[in-house]
Amino acid sequence: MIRVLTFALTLALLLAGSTVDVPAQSEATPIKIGYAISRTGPFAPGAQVTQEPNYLLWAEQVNAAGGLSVKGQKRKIELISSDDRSDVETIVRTYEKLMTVDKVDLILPPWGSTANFAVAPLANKNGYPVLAPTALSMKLVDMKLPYFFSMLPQPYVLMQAAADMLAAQGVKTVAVIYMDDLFGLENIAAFEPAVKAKGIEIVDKKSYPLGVKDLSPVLRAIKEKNPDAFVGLTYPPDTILASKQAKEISFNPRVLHRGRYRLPALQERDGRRLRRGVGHRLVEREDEPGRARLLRRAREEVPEGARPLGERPLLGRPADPPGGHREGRRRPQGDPRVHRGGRACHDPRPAALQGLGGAVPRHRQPVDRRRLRGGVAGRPRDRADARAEARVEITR
Amino acid sequence: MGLNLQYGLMRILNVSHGEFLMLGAYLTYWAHLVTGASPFVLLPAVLAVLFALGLVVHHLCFRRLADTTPEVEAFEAKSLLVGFGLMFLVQNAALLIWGADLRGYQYLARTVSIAGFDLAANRLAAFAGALVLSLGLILLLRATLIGKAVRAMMQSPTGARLVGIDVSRMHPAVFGVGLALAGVAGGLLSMVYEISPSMGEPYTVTALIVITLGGLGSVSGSLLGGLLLGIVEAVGMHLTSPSLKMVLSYGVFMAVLITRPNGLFAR
Amino acid sequence: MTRRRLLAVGAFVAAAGIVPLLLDDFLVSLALSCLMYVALATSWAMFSGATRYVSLGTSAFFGLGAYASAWSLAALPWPIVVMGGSLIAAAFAAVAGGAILHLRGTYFAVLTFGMSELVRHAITYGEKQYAGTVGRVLTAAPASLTVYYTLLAVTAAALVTAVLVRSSRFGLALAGIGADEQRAQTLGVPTRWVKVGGFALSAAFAGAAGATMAVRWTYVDPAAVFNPFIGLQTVLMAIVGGAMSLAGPVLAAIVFSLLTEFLRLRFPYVYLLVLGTLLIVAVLYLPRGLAGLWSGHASSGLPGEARRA
Repeated sequence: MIRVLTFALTLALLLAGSTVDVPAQSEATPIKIGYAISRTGPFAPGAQVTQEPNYLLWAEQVNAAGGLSVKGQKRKIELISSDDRSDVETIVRTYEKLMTVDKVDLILPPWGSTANFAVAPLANKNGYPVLAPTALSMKLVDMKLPYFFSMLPQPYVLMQAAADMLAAQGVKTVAVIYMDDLFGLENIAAFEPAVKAKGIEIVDKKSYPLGVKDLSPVLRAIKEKNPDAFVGLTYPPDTILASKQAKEISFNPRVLHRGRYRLPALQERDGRRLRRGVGHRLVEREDEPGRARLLRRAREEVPEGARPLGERPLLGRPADPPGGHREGRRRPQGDPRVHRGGRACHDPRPAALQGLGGAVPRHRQPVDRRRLRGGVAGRPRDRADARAEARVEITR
Repeated sequence: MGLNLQYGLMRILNVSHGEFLMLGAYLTYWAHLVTGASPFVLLPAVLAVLFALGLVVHHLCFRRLADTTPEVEAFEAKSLLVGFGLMFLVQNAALLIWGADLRGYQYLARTVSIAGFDLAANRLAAFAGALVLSLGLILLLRATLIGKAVRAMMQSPTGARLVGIDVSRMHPAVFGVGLALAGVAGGLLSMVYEISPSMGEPYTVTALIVITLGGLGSVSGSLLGGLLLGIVEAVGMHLTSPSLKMVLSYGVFMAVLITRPNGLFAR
Repeated sequence: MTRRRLLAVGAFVAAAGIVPLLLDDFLVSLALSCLMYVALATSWAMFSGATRYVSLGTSAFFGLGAYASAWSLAALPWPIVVMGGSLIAAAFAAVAGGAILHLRGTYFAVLTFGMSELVRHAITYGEKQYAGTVGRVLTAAPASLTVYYTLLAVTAAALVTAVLVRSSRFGLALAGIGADEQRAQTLGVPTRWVKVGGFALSAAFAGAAGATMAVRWTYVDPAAVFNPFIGLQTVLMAIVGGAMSLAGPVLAAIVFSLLTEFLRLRFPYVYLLVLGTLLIVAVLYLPRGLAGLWSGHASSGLPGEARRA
């Protein structure tokens, strides 16, 4: 047993020693930004489709432009990342390390509500802002943590907009499937009263578990009831599955409303047989700095599997109708406008963080961080909610 | 199926089976993108690659393990660990090569109508492929001399050795066949589903449950076990909701094993 | 013999007890996860190592403990919450064990895995149906030092119990079942009750660990607390360490946790590659587990070969 102890202590010391070799640099020190994200385990597909590529792309772009501007000085971004194995304890531990040992300048959040629940109080304790793009829960917002900012419109806003949209399309009946977790449950809880208020009848409502492989029995049952609209409150893999299987069984309602993601893989799969595919996304300001550049770069960053088909925008969605765009362009500058983008763009973080450029703490002085919070406070929670309306786009 | 063969024959409980399935899926995906050929044409190539990989893995890992650990129970425990090791290895390798996001391609994505049911052509093709493969394997085991040898080894390794079956050559071959089957199954799946490096684990779990249900080491048992589970899930999903489906299928699984401790179709 | 082992456990607990005084938050939390796996692996080996019934159900007990803690945290004092978690897990294990412990070998292993999935889905469904939610937010969480010392107490209890069980009639009966169940039965061991008792005892500690750890996560949901990864990792550690020994699982839990963490942070993209290779090499070239490393040249007092019933 004593040997066990010695051995463990040695290893612990080795580990401790290995984490402190931060090279000192003479010129502008890079801004260290740390995060943990699922690269393996059940959260990996979601995290890797909707979150981590954005971080990498953002850092690459900002660095190519010389870095973040901090009080007039350009500083490069240095990302410190690791895999969280989809394990909550690992997430907690990693963020503890990032914030208390590595003392990174900023953190980026992990993927998913569960993970953000675990990280938010921790970050709050250490005074790091968390700008979460993939945490959706009123419970999290209700905890009223001053350093937590949800970037997603919360269920109430989102579902209200969805109901408005359905009503505008003249939908009378709707069938809905939702994910068996907080995301799905909170959304469905907000969805039901929202559509009922519009006089829309829910003809079918089914839930499904994480990692579902076959939704066709459910879709068949829904098809029999022939609703005007089908709404999927789903995660990325299931969004693809549901869209695909709906096509397979020729279930083709007037409005098909899926999840909240723009997915490259979905565009490869989605034929043009869906009469109407609708997704909701965040609304962004047209004049957001760096937006055009980001879009351009994102277009280059297309996965090998997705081949351009003529003018079909790879990062918009299949056959984004020219009409939709034109409509957007006619709007006066500064008006809320759909943030068109895919893989890298539906997450507004890059732009949001760029907006913070001036307020990034110089070298993790507590005063600076407080100032940063002040800088952020104008944007986030409440405004994000108010600002975010899901805007409807209709493909043929 | 492949897993069952491996277990039945060599008492290797390969928890990394799903990872090889994933590997097969990625190989098919990649070859399809590069060559543009039909996935069906590519399947034999995937089969061959994974068979070769199986031989290599067996040579590197399990042969030595079998030499050093004669007792069956210890061997089972250790092969479990080696399986974990392989799982980490293969998954990480795929992660490095292909990235962790979802990938997919489009093949036979049109709808076929059979007897009033609309089915996707690729699903149908994948199902047919799986069926042909399974029946082929059963036929191989039942009708040929090699099959006889394999079955003999399952029943009694020592006896098989006594009657002159070259056990040391058969073992790697059967292990290879197991992986090759997983790979082809992965290839078939890649036609239907999006693939990602973490896709393997659920399949390992399902495979384990299916073979346990059918009786370990019984090939036709695992086919029937698979069908039974499929029916339970489909019926369950139709009658209740997909969320309850999992409760139902695990419940059936436990009920079956509690009452028939050696699998549903044990002799 | 037993006294010596208890002394070693005491030394271990004392050493772990001063950790929070010396190290920073991250290392404490690393120590915490080491302790968690020490508790899990020890309790697993207590039953499965001795009887050779390989259980993959640890995550079910862990998750039940976590849920018990989520249900009762706001209403009950902290020590009772932890004990409640352990009792619920043990009670469940006793009931489930009564039903499934007649199965052997791989059937048992796969069935316990199925059991934990069943529990997970059943809880998901039940919570959704009756509580209208799946996850639960734990707001009144105790301070992290409290969590650490609670887990240390759980771990210490697991270790002490493991030591005491080893030298008791009960422990001998468990080992007898592992060696030859039929013979044990013939010799008058009530194998059924011994098995169920051992299974429940082992589950109790996993439940307590789950109840303690859950409060660190602010929010529990089935996918996180019934993560099969936790159960598999436990088995992995115990077997790597040598499931029949006492120190083996402890050592392996610590080494494996630290090693994983070290590799994960140092080589974020290839750590699984390295880990997998190391694992395979270790299995192939250390035939008796890590415990075999030193019991070969240390005095016979170490438990590697002490299982001579």
